[in-house]
Amino acid sequence: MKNYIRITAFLILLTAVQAGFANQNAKTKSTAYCLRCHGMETLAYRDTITGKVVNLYVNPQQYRQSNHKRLECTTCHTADYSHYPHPDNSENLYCLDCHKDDPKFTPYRFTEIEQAFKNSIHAIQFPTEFSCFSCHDPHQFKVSRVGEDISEIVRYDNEICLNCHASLLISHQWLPNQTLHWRSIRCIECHFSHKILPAKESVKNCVECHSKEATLLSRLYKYRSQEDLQKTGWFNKAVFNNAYIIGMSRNETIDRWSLIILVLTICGLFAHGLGRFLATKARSHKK
Amino acid sequence: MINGKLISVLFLLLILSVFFYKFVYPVLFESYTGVVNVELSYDSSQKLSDTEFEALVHELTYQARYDKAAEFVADEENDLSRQLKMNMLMNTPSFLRQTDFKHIKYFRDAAIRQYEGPKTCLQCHKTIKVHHADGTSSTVNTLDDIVNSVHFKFQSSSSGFSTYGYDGRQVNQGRAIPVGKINRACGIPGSFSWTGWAELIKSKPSHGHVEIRSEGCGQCHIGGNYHPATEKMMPVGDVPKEAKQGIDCLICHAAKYDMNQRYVIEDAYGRRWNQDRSMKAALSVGRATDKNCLNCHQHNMGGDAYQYNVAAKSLGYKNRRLLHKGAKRGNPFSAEDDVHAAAGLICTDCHVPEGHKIPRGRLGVDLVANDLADKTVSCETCHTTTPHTRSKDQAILNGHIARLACETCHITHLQDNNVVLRDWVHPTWDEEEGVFLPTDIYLSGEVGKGFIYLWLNGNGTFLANALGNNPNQSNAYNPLMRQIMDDPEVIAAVRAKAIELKKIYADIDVEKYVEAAIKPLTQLSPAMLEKRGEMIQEKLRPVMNQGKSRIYPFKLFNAMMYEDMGNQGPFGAMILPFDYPSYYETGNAIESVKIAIQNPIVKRMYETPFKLYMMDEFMSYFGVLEGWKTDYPLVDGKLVNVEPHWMRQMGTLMVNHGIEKTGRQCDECHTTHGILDFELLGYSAERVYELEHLPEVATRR
Amino acid sequence: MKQFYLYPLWIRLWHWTNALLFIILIISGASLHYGNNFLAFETAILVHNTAGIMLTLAWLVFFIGNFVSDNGKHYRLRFKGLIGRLIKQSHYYAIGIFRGDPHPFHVSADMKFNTLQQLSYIGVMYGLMPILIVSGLFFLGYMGNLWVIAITHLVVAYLLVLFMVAHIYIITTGETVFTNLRAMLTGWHKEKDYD
Repeated sequence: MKNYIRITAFLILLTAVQAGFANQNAKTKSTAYCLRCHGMETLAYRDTITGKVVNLYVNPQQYRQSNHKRLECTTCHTADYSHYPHPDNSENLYCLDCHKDDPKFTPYRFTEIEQAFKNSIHAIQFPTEFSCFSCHDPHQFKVSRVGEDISEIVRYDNEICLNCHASLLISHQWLPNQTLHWRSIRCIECHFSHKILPAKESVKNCVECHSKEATLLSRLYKYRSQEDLQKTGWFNKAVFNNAYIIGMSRNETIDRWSLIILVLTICGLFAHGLGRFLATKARSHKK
Repeated sequence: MINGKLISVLFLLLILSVFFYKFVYPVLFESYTGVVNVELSYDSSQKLSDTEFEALVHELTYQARYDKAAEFVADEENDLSRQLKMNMLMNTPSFLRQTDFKHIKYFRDAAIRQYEGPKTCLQCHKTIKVHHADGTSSTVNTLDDIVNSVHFKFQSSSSGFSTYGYDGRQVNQGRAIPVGKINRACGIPGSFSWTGWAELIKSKPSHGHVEIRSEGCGQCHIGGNYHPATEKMMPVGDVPKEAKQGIDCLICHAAKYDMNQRYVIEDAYGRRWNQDRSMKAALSVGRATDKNCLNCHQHNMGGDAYQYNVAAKSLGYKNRRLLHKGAKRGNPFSAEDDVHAAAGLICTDCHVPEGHKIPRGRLGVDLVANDLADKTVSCETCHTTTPHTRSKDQAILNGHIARLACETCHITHLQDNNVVLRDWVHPTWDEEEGVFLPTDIYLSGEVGKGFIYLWLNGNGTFLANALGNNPNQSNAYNPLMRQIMDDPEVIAAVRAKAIELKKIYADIDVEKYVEAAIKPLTQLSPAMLEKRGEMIQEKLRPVMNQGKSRIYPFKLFNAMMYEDMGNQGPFGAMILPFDYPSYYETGNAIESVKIAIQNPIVKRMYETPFKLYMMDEFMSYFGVLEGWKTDYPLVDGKLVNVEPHWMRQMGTLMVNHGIEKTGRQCDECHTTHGILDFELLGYSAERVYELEHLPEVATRR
Repeated sequence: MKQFYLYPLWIRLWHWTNALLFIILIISGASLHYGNNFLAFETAILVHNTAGIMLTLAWLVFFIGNFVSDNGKHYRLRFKGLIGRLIKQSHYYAIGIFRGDPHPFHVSADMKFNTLQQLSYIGVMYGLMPILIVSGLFFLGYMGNLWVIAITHLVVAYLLVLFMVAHIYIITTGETVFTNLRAMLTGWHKEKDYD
C-alpha cells in the first residue's frame, strides 16, 4: 500500500515535471519569446564582410497584421535558436517551400511569380544577392491591401524599390508630371511586377495605361472603378477616392449617355433642318 | 497737411529719442540696477619693442616646436636617439609649417606689438563667415555674434527650450523672458551671478598667513566687466561699448593662454576678473581647442579638484582662485578618463559651432540657455545606430539603443568627490584653505548613490529634473513623487555627517535632518504634497509622455539653503543667495544672506516692475502659479519668513562625458538588485521579474 | 435693306479663335479621354494643355472686353416679358419656321440676340466656361479631389460640345442659311426691311 502511494506520488510528480518541461518548451518556441529581443527596434549589426547593416528587428505590430500572423517564428525558422547567442545558423528559407504544392495557394500563382522573378533583371544580373526577401519582408507581408487608400498602397510598394533605387529622378525625366505619377502608380506597373525589366524594355508608352485596355486595370486599380462604386456608392467614391487616370478611369455611364444625347441632338437638328427644307420647298411650290 | 514745421518737430523728436536711448537710458539703467560700466584696462596688455617682439616669437616658436617634437618621439626609449630624432624634426620644413603659430607673421606684418582685446582682433576679423548645419553660410559681424552668444550673455530669451515649467509650459514658448545662468540661483555655487560675480576673500589657513583669494561666477565668463551682461536682461538697450571691449577672446582662442592671469582685481569702480592680454597669448591664437574649452568647462565636468584639471593647476599669480571641492558632475573630459579625449577628439568635433554659437544639443535637463536649440549633438551622429561591432553580443547590444542611451552603459562611475548633498546653512571650517565652506554632506560617484538612471525624452523641468516616461506610458513611473535615493549606505553616511555637524550646530535634530536630506518630500505639508501630485499628473505627465524616452544616467544633487517662504510652491521656494566674502570668512550663513540680498538687483527683483516683467512668469515655471510676492525678506535688519530647507526634490543633472570604452555587462542590470531599478523605472511587477531573470543572462554567467 | 455693324473686329477675331480652340480641344480631349491614339498621348497632352490655356486667355479677353466696350449690353437680361418672349421664340423654332412665319425677333444695334440665344450664351459664357476653365486649371496643377475635378471637366465638356452642335445649326436659321455666318465674318448684319 505504502509503495503504491509512493509510486503514484512519483508518477504525479513526473507528470508535473514533464508538463513543466512541455510548458517551458512551448514558451521558448512561442513568438512572444523571440520578440523579447527581435521586437527591439534597433536590433541590428554591421556585417563584417559587406559593411552593411543587417536588421534583425521584427515589428510586432506589423507582424500581427501580416498574412503570416498565425505562424510561430519556429514554423519557418527551424534551425536551433533555443540558446543565446544563437549558433551560426545559415538558413535557406524560400517562399515556395511552403507555397508551391499546397492547392490552397494556387490562386496566388506562386509558380508563375517564381518564373517571372527568374526572368527579371534582378535574378539575371544578381543571381546570388536576390531572393524574395530582398523586396518582401515575410514578417509584415500582406498579400492584398484592398480597401486601403490607393496612395498608401503606392507609397508602401514604391518604398520597397526606393530602398535600393534611391536616385531615380534623372532617368525618369522624360516622364511628364513625374511627382504625380510617382504618387499615383507603382514602379512595377511599368517595370512589371516580379519580372522586373531593364530600363529599355520597360513601358514607356503612355497609352498602355491611359486607355481602357490599360495594363493598370489588371493590377493596382483592379479593385477600384466598378466594385468600389457598387460597394460605396457615388458619393463616397467622389469624396474618398482621389485617383483618376485619364483614359482609364472612364465612367461608362457618363460616356454612354453623353454620346446618346449628342447623337439624338444631331439627329433632331438634322430632322429640323430637313423639315425646314421641305417646308420651304412646299411653300415655294404653292406660290 | 505736411509742412515744414511738422517735419522739423518730427526730426527733433527723432534726435531726442536717439539721444535718450543712447545717453540717458544707459545712465537710468545703471542707476536702477546699480551696475557699473567704465573703460577697462589690463596690466598684462603691454606694448613690446620690435626686439622684444622678435625675442618672444623665437621663444614661442622654439617651445612649440620642441613640445610637438617631444610628443612625436614620446615612444622612443633610448634618450640619445630621442634627442636626435627631435633635432631632425625641428629642422624639417614641413614639420615646422605644421607647428608654427600662423598669427606671428600677421602681427609682424601689421606691426601689432600690443594686444588690446577685441579691438586688436576686430582689425582683421570684423566679420566672419558662419557655416550653418543646412549647408548654407552667412557673413556676420564678429562682435555682435559673440556678444549675443550664451557664452557672453549667460542667458537666452529666444524660444526652443527643452526646459518645461512645472506649470507644463515650454519655457519661452509664449512671452519670452531672459533665463539662463545669469538669473537662476543654484545650490551648487550657492549664489548667483550678480551677488557673487567677482569677490575677494581673506583666507586664514592654519599653517601660513592671511591670503587674499578670488571667487565668483565671473571666473568662467568671457566678459571682463564689473557685472554680467545685465543690460541683455532688458528688452531694449545693449551692452555698452566699454564692456564689449572687456571680452576675453584669448581664453578660448589662445593656445598659450595663462590661467594664472585669471584672478579678481579691485579698482576705484569695483571688482572684476583679470585676463591674459599678453602678446605671448595673442601670438598663439587659432581655433579653440579642447584645452581652451576646458579652461572653464572642466570645472563643471571633472570638477575643480579633479586630478587632471589643467586650469586648476594655475590658480593665479596673486589672489589665487578658490577651488570648489565637491565636483558639479564628476564626469571629466580628459585623455585619462574619456575615450574620446584619449582619441584626440576636441569639444567642437561633437559640439560643432556655427560662428560663436555652440550647440548644447537638443536634449537638456539642467542647462537652460542654448544658442542652437535645433542642432543635434549625439553619439549616433558618428557612431550610427549600430555602434557595437566586435562583441558576439553586438546585435543585442545595438538592440538596447532603442531604450538606453549610450551613456547609460558607457559611464560606469562619476568621480568620488561628486557632490550629492551640500549644506550651505551649516558651513564648516576648512583648515587647509582657511575659509568656511558649505558642508558636503554626501559625496559619491557610485551608481545608486551619486547617480541613478531615469527616463528622458529630452525635456527637463525648471529645476533640473529629467522628464520622460516608460514606453508603457503608465502613471507608475513618477520619480518626482518618490524617494529616489534609498541606499542604506547613503543614509548611514548622511546620519554620520549629521552627527558630526551637531557637534558644531547643537540645534540640529539628527533624525529630522537625515529624513529631510534623504526624503526631501517630507518637507512639504500634506496639502502641498497633494497639489504637487495633481500638478505632476495634470501638467507634467503630458510632457513626460512626449516623444521617445530612453534611460539616461543622471547625477543627483540637492542643497540646503535659505529660502523665501513667501514664494513657495510644491516644488520648492525661491532660494536666497550667499555673499561669498562674509560666508567664507565668518561662516555666518544668515549674515551673508542678509548682505547678498541687499544687492540692488535683488532689491529690484522684489519690486513691481521686475515682478511684471519677468518674476511672475519665472515663478509660474517654478510651479508657483499665484505669481511673485514682492515682500522683501529683509526688514529692519532681520530676515522675515526665511527658512532653511532642502529643495523638495533631488536635481538630476545630465552626464555625457567621461565615456568609457567598455560598457556595462548584461548581468549588471539583468539581475535582482542590479544597477537599474526597474520598479522605479515604471515596469510592471511581471516585467520586472522577467527583466531580472533572463534565461540568456543566466546561461551566459 | 437694313444694315447693322453688329460685330466689331475684336469680337469676330475672338469668336473664330474660340471656335478653332474648341475644335482643337475636342479632338485632343477625346483622344486623351478615349485613349484611342488618334493623337499620340504625349502630343495630345501638349496640344490640349496649350489650347486650354489659350482658351482661358480668350475667355478673359471676352470677359474684360464686355466690361470695357458696350458689347456687354447684349448680355443684360431684360426680365420684363421674358417668359412671353421665350415662348414666342420657341414657338417659332418649333412651328413657325416651317410655316414661313416672320422672325419674332429683329436684330438691332441694341440687341443682337433673341431671348433664347441670349439665355444660352449667358449660360455658356458665364456658367459653363468658367467651370470648364477652373476645373481644367485644377486638372493641370492636379489640385483638389482629382476625381471630382475630372468628372466635372468631362461633363461640362460634353455639354459644351452639345452647345456647339446646336449653335452651328441655329445660325442657319437666319433670313437665309448664310446670313448669320456672313455677319460673323464681315461684321455687318443685313436684312430686308419689314415695315
